[in-house]
Amino acid sequence: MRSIFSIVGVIFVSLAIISKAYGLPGESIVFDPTSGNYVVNYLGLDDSGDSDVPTIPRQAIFVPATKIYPIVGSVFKLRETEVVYSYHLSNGSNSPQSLISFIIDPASDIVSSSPLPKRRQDIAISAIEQLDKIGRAALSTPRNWDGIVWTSDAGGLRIAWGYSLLKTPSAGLIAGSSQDGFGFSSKDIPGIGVAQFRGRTPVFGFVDEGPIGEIKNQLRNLRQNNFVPRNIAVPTIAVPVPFDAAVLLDSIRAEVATWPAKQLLDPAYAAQLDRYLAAAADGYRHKQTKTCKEHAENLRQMLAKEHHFLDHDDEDNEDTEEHKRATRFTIDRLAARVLDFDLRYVLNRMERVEEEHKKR
Amino acid sequence: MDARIQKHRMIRWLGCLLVLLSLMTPLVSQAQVESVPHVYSWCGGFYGRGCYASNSIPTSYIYPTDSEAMQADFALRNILEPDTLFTLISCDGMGWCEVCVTTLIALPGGSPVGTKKCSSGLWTAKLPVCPAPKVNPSIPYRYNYGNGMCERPAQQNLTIALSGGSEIEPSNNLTSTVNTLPLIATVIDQNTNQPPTNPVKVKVSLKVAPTSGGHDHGTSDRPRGGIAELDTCPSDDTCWTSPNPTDSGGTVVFNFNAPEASGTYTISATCAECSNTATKPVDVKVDDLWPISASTYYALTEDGSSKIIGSTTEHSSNHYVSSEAQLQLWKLATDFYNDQVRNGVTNPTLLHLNDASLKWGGKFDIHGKWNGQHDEHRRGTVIDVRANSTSGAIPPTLFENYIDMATKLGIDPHLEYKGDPVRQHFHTRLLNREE
Repeated sequence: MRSIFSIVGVIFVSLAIISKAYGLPGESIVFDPTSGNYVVNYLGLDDSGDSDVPTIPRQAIFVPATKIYPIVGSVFKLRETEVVYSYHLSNGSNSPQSLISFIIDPASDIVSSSPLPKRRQDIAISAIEQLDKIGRAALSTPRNWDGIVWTSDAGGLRIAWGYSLLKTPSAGLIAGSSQDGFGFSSKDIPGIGVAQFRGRTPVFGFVDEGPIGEIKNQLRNLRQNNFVPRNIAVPTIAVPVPFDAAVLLDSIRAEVATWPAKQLLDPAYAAQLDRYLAAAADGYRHKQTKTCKEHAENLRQMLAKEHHFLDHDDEDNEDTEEHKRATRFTIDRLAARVLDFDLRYVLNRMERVEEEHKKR
Repeated sequence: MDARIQKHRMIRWLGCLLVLLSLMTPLVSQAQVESVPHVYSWCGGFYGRGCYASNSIPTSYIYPTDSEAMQADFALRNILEPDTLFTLISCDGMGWCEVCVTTLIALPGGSPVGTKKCSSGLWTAKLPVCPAPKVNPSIPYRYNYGNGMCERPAQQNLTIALSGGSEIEPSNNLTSTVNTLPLIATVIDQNTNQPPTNPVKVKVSLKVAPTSGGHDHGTSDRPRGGIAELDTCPSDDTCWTSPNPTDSGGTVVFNFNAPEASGTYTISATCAECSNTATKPVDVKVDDLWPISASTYYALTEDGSSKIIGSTTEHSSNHYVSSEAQLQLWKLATDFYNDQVRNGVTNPTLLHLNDASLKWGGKFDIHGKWNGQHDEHRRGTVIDVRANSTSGAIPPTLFENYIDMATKLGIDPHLEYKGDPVRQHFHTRLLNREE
């Protein structure tokens, strides 16, 4: 945990050095290793409105919301045609801050009583309250937490939970505590997404309107990345209607192709997976379902060699000692679980399609 | 060489000469002349003499044509009284001239010897004059005694037109963003409908409608942007003259450099030989800004009053946002309100909304001086929400809730004027962008 703080600190200090290099004379963002905070020294404008040239020395303290150590477990189970996603969250025992915010952005879609819009321009103001109710009802939210669904700037949905009783001193998930009960259902199968976690911080502000210029840009970078990221299983891959295994396999292949850049997958291993995925999709496309299935099963066997118990859907992604012993570094365990699940989903749906054909 | 041969050669010479002349005649006749009739105008004259001279003295002088020229002209035509000196004081370009006369002899009618100004009336006469040309006025008409017309070499009849866009977004000095609008000035000779034979330089000026763009405090000397390499044009006068004359197509291309403040700007272009000035209004504005919709979840006016929160004499309308920001704002206000209700607050706080953006966005110079802070209120995506000790402010106990609601929606709030009991507010970036 300390090492993570150190890494974050190094990143921020680097930013501070850059900001010193490019800010106005006397301006800087300095990381205080003792407190873990950032001291922002900047020049502010006077209040006369006569000038756009900042001259007045000011200071602000930025307390990052990253003094937490979130551990998140993803569970995803197939129930009929829907995937049930649930998350188990805990905050490391040495976390200086309590964890108060858990955001998934984006998720492709979730099951709700009415379709939830994925773009802001598709929302009328008059529909906001109704959509809010629909979104809340679609989420599983633990007691004392408040969950909402809104649109994502990246397209899709932004699912956010926040601790709702912030007046209390011990608000949020304090160090060493854990919380179940975050979740939803989706018709989309999982990919790997990044969840954002924030700790509780004092309200940030300036005694004036704040810095301008390069220091402002540096501070923006700090604030826009003011969360701890964690990989989780997120609805990402839409299942085509009517079902088409080739199209779905192509989508899975596209998702897997993003994993090496996320350091979830060794590039050489990724190339092997890609060949099998492409072959499986081609097999289905050429009506060779048997070939398609064989390639999918081969893929699953490849994954099983890297990680054990991938098909234990009731378990989350916590790296137990048993799991760690079986873990190799060609593919991240969560990624392997997700891919194995997606392949099983494809095989399952293919079976059902074949059964339906036989009945006819 | 005998006489016959000489005669023969002479005839051949004369023949050649005739052929040459016949060839030259059309060329001479092609030398075009611009001819206009003279007009009668009251002009400087002199008692008595002015009358008999009235049919033969075209006064084409244009101030400050020096008086010696007039003197010489009059003398040449033998109409000058001996020992009399005319001095041209001024001409208005339309034939009306003020003349002083100094004479050493007594003039008829018993006028006194000495200096007189013709403005007395006694010294004026209505004379035929050549009108001042509208095109190329520096080349005046001269009176042709042969045909009684006013003439000068044919001039190009140039007109100018401006084309290009009519809208551009304001610039932003803080991000060193200069938005430029390309404009094209096209000069055409109306006589030929072709570009000018002699390329001309284009002169450009820039004006601003003082109270446009949402600024109620404007004056005609407010910042107006610049032309081409000039960042700013300080006055309504010609700001920029093209360093190069019109190209083969008769055009000069230049950029209008938008200022930070929105408004309606008028770009004018002309040339020395042009008979007109082309103008083009350009709106410097951020599109898609709309007044914030009324809602029961937030307040746009002071409690118990119709006064718009944050409205000033400099900026009476301060509540404009983009459509997307409006949606975010409504959602934030709804969530903030409903969260209080869910937590048992009997009298939930409504968000009290202060400055968003001006009608056309751009620089929101809060003090009306075209400078200073408030630099993010440019594109209708940022709003200030009251968080001080005045009525309707978010109480400090709900600050974290407000931030939490905002964060869930991807909205970025922070306090400005932190600790100031009057000015403290949440500067709220509705689209999580600084603009």
